This record gives sequence, C-alpha cells and structure tokens, in this order.
Amino acid sequence: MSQVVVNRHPRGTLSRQAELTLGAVGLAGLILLWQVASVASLLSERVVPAPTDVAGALGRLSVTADFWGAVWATVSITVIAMVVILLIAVPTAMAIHASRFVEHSTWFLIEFLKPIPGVALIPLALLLWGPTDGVKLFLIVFGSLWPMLTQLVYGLREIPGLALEMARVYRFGFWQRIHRITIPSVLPFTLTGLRISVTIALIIAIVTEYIVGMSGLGSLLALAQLNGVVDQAFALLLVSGLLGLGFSGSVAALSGPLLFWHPSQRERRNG
Amino acid sequence: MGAEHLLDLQDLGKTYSTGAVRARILEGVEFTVDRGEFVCVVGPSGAGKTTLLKCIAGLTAPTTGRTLFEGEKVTEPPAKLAVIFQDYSRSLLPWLTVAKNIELPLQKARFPARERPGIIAEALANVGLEGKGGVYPWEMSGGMQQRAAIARGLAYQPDVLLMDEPFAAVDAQTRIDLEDLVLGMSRRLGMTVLFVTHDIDEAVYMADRVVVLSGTPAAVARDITVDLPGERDQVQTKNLPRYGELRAEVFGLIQAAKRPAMQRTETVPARRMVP
Ligand SMILES: Nc1ncnc2c1ncn2[C@@H]1O[C@H](COP(=O)(O)OP(=O)(O)O)[C@@H](O)[C@H]1O
Ligand SMILES: [Mg+2]
Repeated sequence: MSQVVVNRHPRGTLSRQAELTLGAVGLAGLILLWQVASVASLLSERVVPAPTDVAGALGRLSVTADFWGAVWATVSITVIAMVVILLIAVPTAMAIHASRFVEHSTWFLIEFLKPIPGVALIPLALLLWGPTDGVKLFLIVFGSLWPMLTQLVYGLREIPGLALEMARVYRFGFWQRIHRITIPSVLPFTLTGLRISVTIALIIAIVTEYIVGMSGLGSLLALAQLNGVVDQAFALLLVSGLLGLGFSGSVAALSGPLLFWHPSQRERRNG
Repeated sequence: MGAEHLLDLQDLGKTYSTGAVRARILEGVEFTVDRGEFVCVVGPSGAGKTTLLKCIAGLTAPTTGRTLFEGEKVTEPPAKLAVIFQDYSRSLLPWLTVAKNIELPLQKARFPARERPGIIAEALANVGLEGKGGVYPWEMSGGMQQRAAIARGLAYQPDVLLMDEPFAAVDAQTRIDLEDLVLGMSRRLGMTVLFVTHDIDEAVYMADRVVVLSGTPAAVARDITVDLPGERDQVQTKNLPRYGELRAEVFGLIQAAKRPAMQRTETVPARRMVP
C-alpha cells in the first residue's frame, strides 16, 4: 500500500536547488525594495537603516574580537543545551514509551509545562538563582526540550509493529533490535525535533543574554540599542537570523545522508 | 521425543479482550503438519487466519490449547521457524540493502560469518534475484520485495515456513509467478510450508492438504487431502475436473459457515461441524 505513496510523482515538493533559488530571489527582492525605500527616504534612517548601512556596520563588527566572542558564547551554549536536551529526552521518551504508568503520570506534567514559554521563566529564574551560566543553560533546556521529547515519543510509537514481529520471529537480540530497528525508525522524528528545538534554544539564549547582559549576541544587541547605534543593532539581528538558519540548515543537511531511505528524501531526490 | 508431527495444533483458541468487549476469534482449532508437507489454510477475510498464524509462530499466546513444534510447546518463535508476512514493505527494513536484510537474522552461532555470503547468494538465486543483494528494497517492485522477504526466510534455513497471504498485495501476473516459484522451491528443497490464504484457487492449486477454516469463532471445517498430481501447472491442473470439485467443496464449506449470521461477541458459541 505504502508503495503507492512512495512512488507518487512528487507534485507538491520542490527539489532542494529550486527551493534555494526561489529563496535567494525572494530575499534579494526584499533587500532591493528596502534599499529603494531607504534611499527614497520612505524609511527614516533612525528607525530602519538602509541595507548598505547595515552591511557597513556588519563589516565593522566582524573585525572586533567582542563580536566573535559573543557569537561563540551564543553558539556554544546552544550546542551544549542541545546535548543536554538529548541526554534528558532520550531516556525520558523511552521510559514514557515503555510504561503506561510513566506515560499517564507524566502526561499531565508535560502538557502543563509545554505551553510555558521558556522566555517567560527568565525573570523568575534570574530572581531566584541569579545570572549564572547554569541558569542560562537551564532556561534554554527547559524552553526547548518539549519538541524533542514529543517527537521522540511519537517516533517510538510509530515503529511498525510488523518490523518488531519480524525481529521476534528471527530472534533478534536486544542490541540488534535497538541498532537495526529502533534507532533508524526514530531518526526522522529525532531530526525534526532537533530542528525545532535548536531554533527555540537559540532564541532563548539570545533573549536571556539581552535581558541579563550575559556575554553573547543578545547583550551586544542590547548595548547597540542603548547607544542608539541602529545600523549595528540591525546587523546583530541579521547575524542572529543567519545563525538560526545555519542551525536548522545543518540539521536539514544531516537528513539527506541519514534518511536516504525515507520516502520524503526519495521524493526530494526524484524531484 | 520422537514427535510424530512437525506441527501439532491442539484445541487452539483465541479470544481478544478489548476493555469489556471479548471477541472470540478461534475455537478448538486442531490439525497437524508433517515434515515436507505443503498445507494451505483457507478462510474468508477476517476469519482469524493471521491470528492463527501468530499463535502457531509464538507471536501471540493462544487463550486455550497449544501448538507443538517438533514436540515442544510453542511460547516464543522457535529458532527453526520463519514467517513470510503479507506486508513485505514493512517487514523488510528500508535502511538496509536486500543482502543486509537477509543477513540480519543469521546469528553467529548457526551461521559463521564466512559462510554467510554463500548462503545469501544461494537464497537470492532460489527466488530468482541473483545479483540483487546490493539493492535497497524500495528500489524494487512489490513482487521482487516479496521474493527478497522469502529469500530471507530461506537463508534462515527453517524447518517450516509460515506464509500469511504473501501474495495478496501483488498484481495477478506476479502472483501466479510467485505461486509457482514457491511451489517449485518447496519441492526442490523439501521445505515444509504452512500457507495461509483467503483465495480458494490459490489454496487448492498449491496445497497437498487444504485446511478449511470457517465459522465464528473459526474452527477447522474440514481437512481435505488434495489428490491432484504432484506436479502442478497453472493451466493443466486448473483444467482437471478434480480441481473443480475440490474448489467447489472448499467454496461450499465457506459459504455454509457464512449463512447463519452470528455475532462474534455472542456468549454461547454454536458448535462447529467437525469432520
Ligand atoms: N490485536 C487484536 N485485538 C483485537 N482484535 C483483533 C486483533 N487482531 C485481530 N483482531 C480481530 O480478529 C479478527 C480476525 O483477524 P485476522 O486474524 O487478522 O483475520 P484474517 O487474517 O483471517 O483476515 C478480526 O475481526 C480482527 O479485527
Ligand atoms: Mg490476515
């Protein structure tokens, strides 16, 4: 049955190249429009600087050690948070999946915690524990754990029953089952979870830095705003956006080689 | 132990309980399969054929009775039993090549690593997939995928191959090819096969014996020895008068059981006709 779906002509999907080209054209168009609007003084330069000014500010920033230090601080804490999230989410998802009791007893807690935006906890956490790297990590992990956890639980639930029966008939060992069935089956869900979680993690990192002034892109942004250096503030926003794109882009880049067997990737290749 | 039969089903019954609802699927199923036999179990869709096969394979525990495999009660899938599932696209792992899929069940103890390439090549040759080991399942047609699944079962060198409507999802021509492939293979290798199907023609054409499963809950309505010439041929065999008679007999048994429309959830089961 699934054969039909798999071999269907990929009408709705674009090849990666076409997607990138269209994306680039759209972005170029927007920047052009923005430049024209700035030059024509439709936009006040104190509110929105021209793209050329932003580019200039970015050039000046990129030769300072402060800037690269800030980028490093933000990127490294985000990466560390993702590792911590995986370390928490994998065993938790396995426990939830393995036991109906754990599922029922954690369901309420998770549904309760999930909608609390990580950002909303920042003032409270800082008040309680002060502005330390540990608190920053906690805030990031707390705010971006849920997509990962939810995806992992779904992934475990979606392992085809038939594959597990096949494994029983052919008497697979425990590790063989984990290595050959569980991990590959859950991988697509893991990558989706990772992509969503990493974006949220980056946002919370920057907002925390912004509010508390801990080193990172967020505090540079706060400083630029405070000093009224609007073009620099825009340059930093641009860098933040590019970082987000970079993170989710790296996860997407992993999907190609890791999920070559998955219907979505097969469609992409054909398209 | 000196077990007489390779498979011996004794008073097998299965009731699924979902909350307060109890669905009686099988009751008092009894038949045997001897070494080298090709036995078809035929019954309409939803009769409980897959359930029966899972009980025999040790994938699910029967509610009553038991299956003896080589004289021993089955509780988990026995080492010398393989199952070919209907849904090949899920039973083959898409992230592994065909060769790797076949190799996975070959455990160290029974299959030393250096012997495996030979075993895999032989199994592939037996199903007409020479040289296809390096291909991924989704790069092949449905019929070829099911052949690969059969090759995996063969390489495992079981004493009995259980097949659950293995050709229900392929087109008619492929189905005919696969029927003859499995028949030829089982004759050549002296394999014991328990083949489950809802298709009366397929059952009569392939089997040495047809076990007709009917009723609600299902039981063995009749155990028919197929006295057709051993060499089967899609045209000649199906033109034999005897083929038509056997076919009509099976059809009649299945129809007869359908007439008294009974509910699965009834408390008192109607007695089945027992041969
Ligand atoms: N795990 C299960 N729980 C409850 N009911 C089931 C389960 N598996 C199968 N059934 C029911 O048992 C009946 C027989 O199913 P099955 O053995 O798959 O029949 P067949 O293979 O002959 O088509 C069906 O009515 C089906 O809905
Ligand atoms: Mg079935």
